Amino acid sequence: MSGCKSRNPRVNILEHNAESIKFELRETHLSVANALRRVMLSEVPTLAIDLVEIHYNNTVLNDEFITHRLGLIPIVSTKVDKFRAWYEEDEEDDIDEQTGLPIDPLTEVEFTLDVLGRESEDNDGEETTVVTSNDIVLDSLHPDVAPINYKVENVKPIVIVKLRPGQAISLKATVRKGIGKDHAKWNPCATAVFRVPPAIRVNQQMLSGLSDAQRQQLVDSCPSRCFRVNPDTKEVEVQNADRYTYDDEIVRKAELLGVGGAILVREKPEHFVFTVETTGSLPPHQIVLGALGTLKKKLNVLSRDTARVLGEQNFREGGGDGFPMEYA
Amino acid sequence: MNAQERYEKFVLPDDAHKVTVVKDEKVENAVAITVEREDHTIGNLIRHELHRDREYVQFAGYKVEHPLEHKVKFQVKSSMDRDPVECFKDALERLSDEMSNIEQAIKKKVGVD
Amino acid sequence: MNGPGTATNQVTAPGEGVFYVCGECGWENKIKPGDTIQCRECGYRILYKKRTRRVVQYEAR
Repeated sequence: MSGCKSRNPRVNILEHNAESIKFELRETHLSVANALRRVMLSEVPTLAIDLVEIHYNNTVLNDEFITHRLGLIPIVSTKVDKFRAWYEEDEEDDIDEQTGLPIDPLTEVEFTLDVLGRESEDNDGEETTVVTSNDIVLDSLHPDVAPINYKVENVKPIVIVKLRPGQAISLKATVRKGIGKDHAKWNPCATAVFRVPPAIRVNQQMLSGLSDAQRQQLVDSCPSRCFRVNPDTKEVEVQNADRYTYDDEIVRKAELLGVGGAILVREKPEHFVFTVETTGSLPPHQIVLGALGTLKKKLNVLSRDTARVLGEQNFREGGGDGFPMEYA
Repeated sequence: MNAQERYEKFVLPDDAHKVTVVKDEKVENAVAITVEREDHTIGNLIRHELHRDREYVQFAGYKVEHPLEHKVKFQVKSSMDRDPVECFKDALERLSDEMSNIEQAIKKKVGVD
Repeated sequence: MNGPGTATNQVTAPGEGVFYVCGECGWENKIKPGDTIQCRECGYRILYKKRTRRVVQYEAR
């Protein structure tokens, strides 16, 4: 069929917690790593407030300001797959088992926010009422769709606006599915980066002529402190290679000291270390899996449409037995 | 007044096809493939995958001609024993398999919570 | 084209009078068409219009 086989990259998880995931991706090309990174940032679907109806607002912040802030609140999006965005086609709708009728796909969830500034000081002597993400009233039909850390003990909520006595805010907010490409509020990543670890080789023989002071100078030239002089053997050795940022200061210093080429730095081929931090809307491993799924979907859509083109080509040219090819 | 809507970057209009192919008149077995509503994410990915097919693919490149036009153009030329569009489709399938492989690897290592 | 905020419409000609807020004392003055623009409480001549009662909708972008 094709000229080569598909790749089977290796994955190693280095760190993994509720906020971030750090993993190695090996035996694949830079374009794959970069595509993955780009999709994590801009095409992984999430939920966010997209439409706001203001019923009353005599706050110090104007309508648009508050609306903008509401949009930026991360919403727990683990159930985002159940939603459908307005631009998504109807694929096969799920059928309710009991009634046998198709279930309408979920597109929106409605929050409300109604707060009136307290009239007088509270127990702590505070006159100001702080409106936070905890004051948002969820949709009773979908209580799992909520701002991050919703009413979690000992976790500070997101401040929306502050009220004086007599000030009030009353609004309805609609949550919709979207992607980062459309608006950054739908980006699930706080950061998504990858680096290429270096392969550093120190030629001890070439460095043997250097004095202790020169060795120390060499080691000190690296701003990322990736080298040190071994206290026992007095050799220059690598420490914390993953702190290296390819500034190559030590390579230059080696040349100045007359031992150019003693320290060789190369990129490790086909080796990438990803660090993905989440805003809280999706768990970090789900961001990565979501990105892979989205990329796969894109590729499959292209594959299908390419098959259609091939079919039409054959049909027009009267390929084979003259019958039109099946659409994939 | 002239501002495009953000969704133009990824929503395909009803009257447009995602993939269009035009044969190259001057070069044998070469095509220009236009993919609508995509960007460098997929362009660079497919281009490098096409290069991996050293048996059939003789030329492969991609470009985004204008940042305000959301489409990717590929140029693919293959040896006479395989259709360039087939080479393109093969690359897409290989990439899809690769993504599935990475997916499985991650799921296994994470333990699929 | 719709602007950033859209409101539901209930239009009536202000024959009845509209409340404007005085710039100095904050009194709500009912002003009818043809009335002098002046606060009835303190005489200040700069009056501000109140926020609309209509519900306004915005895109959270």
